[in-house]
Amino acid sequence: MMSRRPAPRAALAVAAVAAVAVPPLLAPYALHLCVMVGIFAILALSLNLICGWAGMISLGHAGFWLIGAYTTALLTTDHGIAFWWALPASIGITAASGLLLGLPSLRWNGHFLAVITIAFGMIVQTLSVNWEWLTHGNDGVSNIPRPVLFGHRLGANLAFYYLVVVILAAVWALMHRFIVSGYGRALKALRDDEVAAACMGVNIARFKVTAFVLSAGIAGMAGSLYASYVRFLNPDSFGLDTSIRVFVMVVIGGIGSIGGSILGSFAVYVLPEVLRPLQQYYYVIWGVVVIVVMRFLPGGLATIWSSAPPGRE
Amino acid sequence: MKRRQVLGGVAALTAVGYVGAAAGAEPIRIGLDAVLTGAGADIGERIRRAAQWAMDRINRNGGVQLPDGSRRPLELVAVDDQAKPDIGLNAIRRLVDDPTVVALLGPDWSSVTYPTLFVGEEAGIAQITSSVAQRITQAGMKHIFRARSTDADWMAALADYIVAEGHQQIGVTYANSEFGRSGRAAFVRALKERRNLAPAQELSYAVGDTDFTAIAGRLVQSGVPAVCNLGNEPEGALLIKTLRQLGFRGLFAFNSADSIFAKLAGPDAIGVVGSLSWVDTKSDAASQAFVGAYRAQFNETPIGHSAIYYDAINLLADAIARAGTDRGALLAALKSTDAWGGVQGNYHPSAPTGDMIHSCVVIRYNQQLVPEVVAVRD
Amino acid sequence: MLVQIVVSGLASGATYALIALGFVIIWNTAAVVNFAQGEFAVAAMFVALVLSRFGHVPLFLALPASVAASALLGWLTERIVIRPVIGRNAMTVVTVTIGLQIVLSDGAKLIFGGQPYPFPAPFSGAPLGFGGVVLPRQSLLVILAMALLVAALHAMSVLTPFGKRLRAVAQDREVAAMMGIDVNRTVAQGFAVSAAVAGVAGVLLAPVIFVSADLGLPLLIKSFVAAIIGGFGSYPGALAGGLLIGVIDNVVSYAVSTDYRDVISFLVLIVMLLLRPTGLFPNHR
Repeated sequence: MMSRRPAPRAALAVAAVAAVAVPPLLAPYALHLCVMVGIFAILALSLNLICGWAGMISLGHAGFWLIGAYTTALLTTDHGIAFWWALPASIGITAASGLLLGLPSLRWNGHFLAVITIAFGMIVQTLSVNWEWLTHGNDGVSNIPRPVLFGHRLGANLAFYYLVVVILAAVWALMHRFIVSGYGRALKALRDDEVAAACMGVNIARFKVTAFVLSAGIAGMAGSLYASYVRFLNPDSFGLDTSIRVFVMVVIGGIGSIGGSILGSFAVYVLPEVLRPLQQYYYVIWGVVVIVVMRFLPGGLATIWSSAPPGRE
Repeated sequence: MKRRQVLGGVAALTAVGYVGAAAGAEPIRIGLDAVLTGAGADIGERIRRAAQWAMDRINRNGGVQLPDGSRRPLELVAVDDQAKPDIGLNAIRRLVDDPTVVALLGPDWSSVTYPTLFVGEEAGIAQITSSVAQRITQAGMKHIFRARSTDADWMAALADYIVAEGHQQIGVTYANSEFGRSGRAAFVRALKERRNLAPAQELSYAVGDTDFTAIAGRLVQSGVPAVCNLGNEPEGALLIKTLRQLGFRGLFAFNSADSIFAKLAGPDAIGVVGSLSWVDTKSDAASQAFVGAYRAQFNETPIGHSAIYYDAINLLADAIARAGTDRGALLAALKSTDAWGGVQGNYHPSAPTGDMIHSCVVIRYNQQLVPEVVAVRD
Repeated sequence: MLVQIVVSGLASGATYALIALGFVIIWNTAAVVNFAQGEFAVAAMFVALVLSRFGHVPLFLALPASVAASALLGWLTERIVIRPVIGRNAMTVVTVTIGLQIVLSDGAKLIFGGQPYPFPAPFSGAPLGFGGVVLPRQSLLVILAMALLVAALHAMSVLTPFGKRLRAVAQDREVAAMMGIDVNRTVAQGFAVSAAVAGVAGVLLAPVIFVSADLGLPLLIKSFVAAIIGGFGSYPGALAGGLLIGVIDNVVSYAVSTDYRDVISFLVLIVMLLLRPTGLFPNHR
């Protein structure tokens, strides 16, 4: 196995500067893509916490995303609550639902957990279709307001983009601290060998559930941002295909790599858009790209760095 | 009146000029958002074909003559929404962000059109859709036009027909989707308002379901003599097949009983009643001229969507010829058009909601699986 | 009527069971969760459609030919896509099969478009009636074919040298290799058999539903769940799981509502896993 080196500081700095300085120069459509990449990156990071560091599989993250998005959408439209209150409410409610899914993870592993999470995602989506009194069903929720900050409505996509970047950076920092903390090391030990971890005195149950709750909360945050950005929700956007898409983002980017999840969401969201001129061929080519990346970069796009010649840092 | 308008329209287009006048001039771009991949791509492809064909016919005659006297060809910019709102939002944003796109056509699926309405509204660009959900023209948007009668029109016609056939006990089945639920609401409303009836039974199913034994079994058990189904073609075809297998001999009415449905259902489609915005067996001159030309070009029969988008391009070309290529001026020109004749019938673009047309037909499949027109509403 | 609903559920369930069976064969021989399994069934449907509808090949030739084509696809899948990544992180391998699923389903869309195609039934004629229960001929054929195929697979697994190699590889790759078994070749053959089984399910299902490019993923999910209910890795479990899902789906639709069918079916699944955390037949391979 190749040892994974963290991204060089210089590259990180360049990326950070680019993330702040380039978007004002972009065409509106490209800027829109950047916002979506940012939101998906937060979602991918949340899944990476479960897949990458806790070694569990979830194919139901669209369910968490849905709960977070609908919480914000319904609170800000039907109940007239401001975005800044709806955001923590989304995080809280989604985290609570993470507890619901964290408990089965104590009992099941691997494929069983994969199917349970698929079931979770499908149940949540089905309820969002059928609980019309709460979610407006297939009609969806429209006219979701954009956040208002210091009296200014973040109506422009550029302003919203910076909000997403700030939150993404905060999630990055949070996860970085989490990983270097005892929690993160325990999770890693748990991923590598559950029995050994238990022998070392790691409280497996607590760590697994914590990982699920934290992951769900972050996914809920991404959902909240998504709702107020696109300003319309309906259950169609939160199916199994979305869960699979996010999973592919995490793996393509690099399991267990923070930068990888951001790269992965960039690749998964932007590449099909770039391939669009190829018309109907673009999805097939996209599938081939996924296979080829996994063939030649099994650790994901993040390992491009570690295959760079030494001394470049 | 209608026929004269149509013939006048055709004559005006022919008179637009000689072939090749617009060659080399910068084309006028019209955006089209349709379902070009995935389920529903069949209709999306027909939409694109009809719009492109309408443009080709205009361009062969020299393109559109603008108020300043110049002639420019039309060009279609087609994008794919995969029938998904978020993808559609991306696609329509991309069209609107292109300043050379003067007007939008589509989307076809209500579940994509409704959430993306605000994009066109904010850009002040005219948008002509074929989506049928009522609320699309009731959201107070000033830029949206609907070139198709809606389920309110169809269901009124269908409810009248079913009841006139002597059926009072009607079972209602619908897809648990935006389209199915909207159709169900319209049908139940039409039954109530026009005949003061309520459905004898209501059952729903999911889009993509493949086993209809449970639903068909409940319908057969309840003994309803007529069933009205609201949803898409594949599920409708499977439902009637299963019903017939279980011995159902009553009337089956369906809001998507088009040629795709007939092809899938085969002999089980015989006797099925449907309501459509337009059908190729409509006998008026405008319809028959269109069907003849379309058959000569593509060697196949046009569907309702072919007529809708063929008309939409011609309507836009007519407005561009009067108002030029400025988005706002074009929108205003459409809004001030009181009457315009197309293949489908009379359009009224100045209608405050944007619902331009209400014509529809009730059809019934005969033994040769030909949809015979049994009622026309104008 | 309830009997009718159950029988029809068994017919749907039989196709899930067959795909689940193929899914488990691949899991047992290569330790790969194959997200493209449903696409094998869809590929067979399209080959049969092209041969019979456009090539005018009679059905009794078109159906075996399409199953053979599906087997070839399975074999190629192993050689080209799976073998280079085998033994890597499970999530990497799953992602490769997701990539393959995208290529196959969107490739089918590219060629055939998104629209559904009607498929001719091998046996036409009125459904058979048994004391108030109506059985379409195709449903009978599906159930019968499943029973025969399962018997044949069992015989192959127990009686033939190939079956023994397959089981040896499933039990322990390294030991099998030391015993002189060509593991790579056996795994490739396992993929071919698995895809052939899925192909049979495809051509049996084709006349009942319509053939379209987006059938693969829903079929995969049903069969994945079936395999889990059965105890992942168990052949009788996959069968029982598939049949159970078909019946539960239909009974819930009939007795409760279609709107909540998936919710209720999945809750049943979760309750079953709570009661039997390792599935119905955990130790039967």
